[in-house]
Amino acid sequence: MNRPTTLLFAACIALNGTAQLLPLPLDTVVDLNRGRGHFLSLSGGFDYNANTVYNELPLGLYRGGYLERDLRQRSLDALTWDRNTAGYLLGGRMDWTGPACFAKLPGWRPLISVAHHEVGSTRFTKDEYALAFFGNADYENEKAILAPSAYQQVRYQTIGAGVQHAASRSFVRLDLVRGRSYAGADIQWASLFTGEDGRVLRTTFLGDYYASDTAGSGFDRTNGLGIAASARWNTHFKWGARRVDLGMGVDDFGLVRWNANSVRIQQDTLFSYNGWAVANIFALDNVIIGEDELLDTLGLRYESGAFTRLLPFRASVDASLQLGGSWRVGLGVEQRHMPGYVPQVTVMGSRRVGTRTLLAATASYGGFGALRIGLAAKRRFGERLLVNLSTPHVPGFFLGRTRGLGLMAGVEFAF
Amino acid sequence: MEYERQLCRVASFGLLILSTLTACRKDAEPARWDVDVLAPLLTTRFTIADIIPDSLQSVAADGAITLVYSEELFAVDLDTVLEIPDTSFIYPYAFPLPGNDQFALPAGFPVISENNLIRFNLPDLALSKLIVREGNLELRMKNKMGSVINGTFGLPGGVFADGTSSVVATVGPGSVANPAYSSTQRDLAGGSFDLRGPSFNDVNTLATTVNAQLDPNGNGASVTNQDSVIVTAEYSGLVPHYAKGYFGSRTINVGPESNPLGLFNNFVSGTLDLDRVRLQVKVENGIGMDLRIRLNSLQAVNTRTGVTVDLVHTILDGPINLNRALDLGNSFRSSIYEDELDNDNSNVDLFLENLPDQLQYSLDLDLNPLGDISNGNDFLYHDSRLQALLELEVPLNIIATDLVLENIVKPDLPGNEEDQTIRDGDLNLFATNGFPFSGSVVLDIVDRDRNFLSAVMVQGGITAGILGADGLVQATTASELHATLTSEQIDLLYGEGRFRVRIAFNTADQTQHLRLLERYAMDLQITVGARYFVNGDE
Repeated sequence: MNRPTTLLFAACIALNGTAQLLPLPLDTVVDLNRGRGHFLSLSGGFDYNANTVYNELPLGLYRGGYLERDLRQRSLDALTWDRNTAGYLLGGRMDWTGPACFAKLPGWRPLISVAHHEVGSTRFTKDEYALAFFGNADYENEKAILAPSAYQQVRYQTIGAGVQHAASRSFVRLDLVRGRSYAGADIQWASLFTGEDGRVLRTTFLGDYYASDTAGSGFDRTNGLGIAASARWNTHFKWGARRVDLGMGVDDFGLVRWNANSVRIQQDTLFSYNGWAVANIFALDNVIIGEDELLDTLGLRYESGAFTRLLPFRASVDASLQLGGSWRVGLGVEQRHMPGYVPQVTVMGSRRVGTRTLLAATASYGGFGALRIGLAAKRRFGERLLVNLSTPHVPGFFLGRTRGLGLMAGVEFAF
Repeated sequence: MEYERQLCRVASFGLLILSTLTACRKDAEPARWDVDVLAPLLTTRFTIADIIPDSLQSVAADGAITLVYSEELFAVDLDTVLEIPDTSFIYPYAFPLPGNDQFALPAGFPVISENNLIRFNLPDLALSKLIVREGNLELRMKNKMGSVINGTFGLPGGVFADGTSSVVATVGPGSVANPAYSSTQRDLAGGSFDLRGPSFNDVNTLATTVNAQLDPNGNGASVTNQDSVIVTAEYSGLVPHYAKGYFGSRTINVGPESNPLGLFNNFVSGTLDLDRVRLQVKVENGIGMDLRIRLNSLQAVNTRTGVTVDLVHTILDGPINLNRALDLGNSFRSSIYEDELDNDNSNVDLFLENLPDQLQYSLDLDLNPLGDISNGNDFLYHDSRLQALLELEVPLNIIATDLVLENIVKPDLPGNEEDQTIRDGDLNLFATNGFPFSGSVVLDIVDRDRNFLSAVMVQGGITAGILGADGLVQATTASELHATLTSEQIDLLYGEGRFRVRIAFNTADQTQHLRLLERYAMDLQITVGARYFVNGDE
């Protein structure tokens, strides 16, 4: 492997990617000449976002070590009662687009794509956070409300083929999905009452938990199989004298059948706990809390069996308006099938600088979090290489007490 | 080349940005934080059965509990009276030929034909009959002659379990330089042997016959004075099923010996005043001979306090004469001696109030103190034994004064010594007491050898149930105790430390004995408020 290839490979591994929040507008000046036969693109990135929890908390969890109470308290103070969300997207994709080869579809090119995805999100109540990070002692003689809440984490890979329209970049692709792991909980109702002096813990719980084979989720394991479709339709029209580009699409709309070793717990229960019942007070050695006893007592034994789940697909609509000269503004809306995700609206302003560079600024609201300010850029190097780089939230790199952090990058070769 | 430089810049920039995250991560150390946990730990109901098993309780119709306890004081087993050592008898045969003479023996020539009497070495015993429960006869043959030797070993006075009375053995041809060997085993279990000899007037004596001949189907042998045949009969592992005879007149000294007594193991100090105590001494003689026992001493030893109390009763003043057991043919009926000790004729209450953990005794046992008055008809079966039992009956009508019950508990804390998940905390005990005694708790941390390490401050005490005019508990009381564990004490508990819980009981009325009823109970709940470290504190 020569030096440029090595560097490119390193960059792409470092910048695991996912679908960009709002694609930079197509620009015939900056973009690669679509007349070339082959295009190979590598993209990757991560995006974390939350609507209440400050970045310093997940960063602290990531870095390890002791989490100071003040740090945890700051996020607690910022929480709403029951509409707290957080989530992340992590992934990378490689696309190959070949020369037009379909006699009956002369404008369409073959497309092959492989991708890796890891996504997770949660929706939680303030009391859940407080119990997790401060314990139940402050709830003495009170009830902690632990629902509605949900959690989902999915790892999967796709390989697929499709066709892409050479000029508009619209495409249709069908993917085979290899599911590596799934864990999801949906808690419709749950509470925990802590009695005075801790003399009783009383819980109510209505919810379920599903997980793929718990024996492992390594790269060598396939715990589920599925199929998914992705498509994007790009078009444009005139609005007065100005050109409007409109696009809409869906990514990874499909299902995975998680295999028979998968597990589930479905509970609708009231439970009152007064302590382990000990037969003889003089025989207490090692009486306390083996995992098996705990699971039995709480009725948390798994049942095994296959199940099917929708992938955390994404649907989006976006439009951009040419303002004249090199300026352009855009608006996009996207939604993901993930707990806690609300439609995210993004506005973007972009300007072409010279003939090789396009710069953009974004403001987005929704998704897992609140308002974010981002930057994006793409630059062409010569006639064969185009590099994309964007972040949905610039302050995330500099401030701990903000919410959200992400980075996406991509390169495209033409040959 | 220009592309390459630009590409390097892009890749380096991406890696630089990501490094703002990853460079800070301490891979070996997960995030950890402390949470304040408040939860019930355990609940239990304390009843008398927790210190006195149901099997040792007798409950009257009114619910009053009597402790019924039986303990073997001593036993003299079969092997004390009769033990048969492993015994070997050798039957040699050599040819009395002069010099280098050789002599040709034909096939079938008898080389040994002997009738013998063998005598077992049984000092003090004169057995006339023995039925074997376990045992083995091994016939070993050594042959230097050049022919197969066929041998027969007979016991005219005995019958094996299969009804035969002889053992056949064969040894191959040997030579002076390379003798041949053989070994034949015979299980003696179930065999019956008359030990009176051929004239029925001897003891410990077994008649035997040994015959050996050259193989009649062989070629005979040429022998010299160097050739020989040696037959060895070894009796081993003989355990009698039944023995009859005269077992001798002798004295066996037993003790001083100590028997552990587990009845009061959990009590470490304080006084227990018992209203009434009844102790029945029961001695059973299952051996068919007269016995005389002189009980020299019987002591209640409390090794925790170092106090020893001697039992005072007429049973220690004079000998106990025990008649012989009755032989029923295939079994026996023991003769029994019984005596009863109580507060009025002995100090048995003080004996027991010492809360002994050992009973120490010494005695002399005379066998056949009057000599052979059965005319050689002493007997014993395998199950025959001399046994002394103590049967104790104590109505639980007590006055307890600072009676301390001790228990050692090693808590199974989450995490481990290097990765502790609990830093400090409070233990709370909630008691609903239906017993007529109060309790104060002392909580210490001790090491594996019970050496004191740290004291845990306990606030509060358990109040006694409310007594009615009849001295019985009419209503329960509720109490709370609180103990705070420091981080240093938690460290000890993660290490070798363990809780030593001592509860000092005092009956509510110290002037009269209070009855303990079966219905009495104390409900206990322990809760914990602790600082718990998610992913440990290190």
